[in-house]
Amino acid sequence: MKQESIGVLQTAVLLFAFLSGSAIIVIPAPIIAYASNAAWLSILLSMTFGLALLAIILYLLRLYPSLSFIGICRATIGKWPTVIVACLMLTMAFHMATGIIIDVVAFMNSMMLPETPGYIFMCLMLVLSALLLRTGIESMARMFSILTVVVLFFWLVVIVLLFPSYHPEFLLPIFPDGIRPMILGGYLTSGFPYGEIVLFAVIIPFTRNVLAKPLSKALVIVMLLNGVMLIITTLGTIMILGPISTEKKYSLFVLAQTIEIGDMLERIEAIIGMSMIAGSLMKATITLFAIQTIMAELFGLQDHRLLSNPLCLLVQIMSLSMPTTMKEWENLVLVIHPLWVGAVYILPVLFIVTVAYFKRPARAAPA
Amino acid sequence: MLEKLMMITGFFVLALATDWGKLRAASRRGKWSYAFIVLCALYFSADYALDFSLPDLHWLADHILLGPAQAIVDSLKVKQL
Repeated sequence: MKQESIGVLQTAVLLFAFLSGSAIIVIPAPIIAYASNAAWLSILLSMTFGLALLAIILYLLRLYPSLSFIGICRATIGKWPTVIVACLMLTMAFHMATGIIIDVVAFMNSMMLPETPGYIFMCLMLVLSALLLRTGIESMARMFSILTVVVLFFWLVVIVLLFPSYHPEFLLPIFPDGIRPMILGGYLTSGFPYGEIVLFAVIIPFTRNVLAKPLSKALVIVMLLNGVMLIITTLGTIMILGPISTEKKYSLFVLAQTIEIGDMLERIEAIIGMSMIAGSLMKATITLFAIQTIMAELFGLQDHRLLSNPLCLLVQIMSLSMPTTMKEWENLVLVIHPLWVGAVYILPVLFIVTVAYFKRPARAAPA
Repeated sequence: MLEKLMMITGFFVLALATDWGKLRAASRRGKWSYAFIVLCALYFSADYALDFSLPDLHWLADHILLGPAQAIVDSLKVKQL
């Protein structure tokens, strides 16, 4: 089967969609609850951490430019440790995929269509994801380039239209309780979305030239852009909602509800709802593609598209069965998720890169 | 429960019907990996449709990681007077 490949810019767009996907709407409220006015500094802190992770991943991929991520694991730590690492990564990847779907359902049921059963949204999202997975990463990258521009445009429209409502005085004081809340906020966002970048290491080898310098430049720029977007959204939330920011879930959607320019431009929150769904679809599909690639390599399959439908079916049923209550789900995401990411994504990748670093001279010696 | 069972049966039938042609042409390894994922889906289906409360990923994460994760969060939280 022909190996698919995408361009540098397309990889950057996929990373942007992967990082921003649902984070723009989901992240501001919990991070403000944790870090209050220092929330934007927490994002800055975790973004620096994310950039360091990206540098580590790119270093690893450059050492073995012709191999996939699982191939690199096999070459560095051996066959069975690779199976363990892949299984650990899959636990988090499945949790991410189900989490994205559950978030969409919670958003739709609480903000837009409260009477519609959740499985309708789940089913529609996963049918779309399955179709996208079957078309392959090239078509996905082309389609997501358009969707990302649309999401970015809608976000920009809302942020600009909110200008008359901002109250900069709500931003102070920044550290009313010291710096610990800021670190707590950084802990949260270092798990979601920045720690999740390790899963993207499965996608980067599909780029035509992994060794090209513009690739690292593009990925760093995209990550900075994502950080700026998250910071602006968080600052906007604090400047408009002030002390009630923590009570409002999906703050960007709530902000869009407050827009009122004259009597002609109001109630434009639907475009944010659309952005949320489009962003979540992109992130869910990229996550499912990473799962599919890991599993296909573990099972030694030539055609990984065979797994598209059963994987979407599995995620659909996992999404239906997993959270008993929304409170339990929030506890899982806000408390356990960052540590889970650290244990199954960050620690293994640090171990692999350390082994790769020490194996490097041995690789170079015969040449 | 009947509604859940019908819905899940519908999902399985849909997935298998669309993959039937591909599965017949797939290698033995492909068929086994497909069956493995379907079995996992069946496990979660039983959990969901029959309310078995079987162990899942979140149950595992709760048991292994909740303690240390809660300790990290508590150590960084400012105690309100």
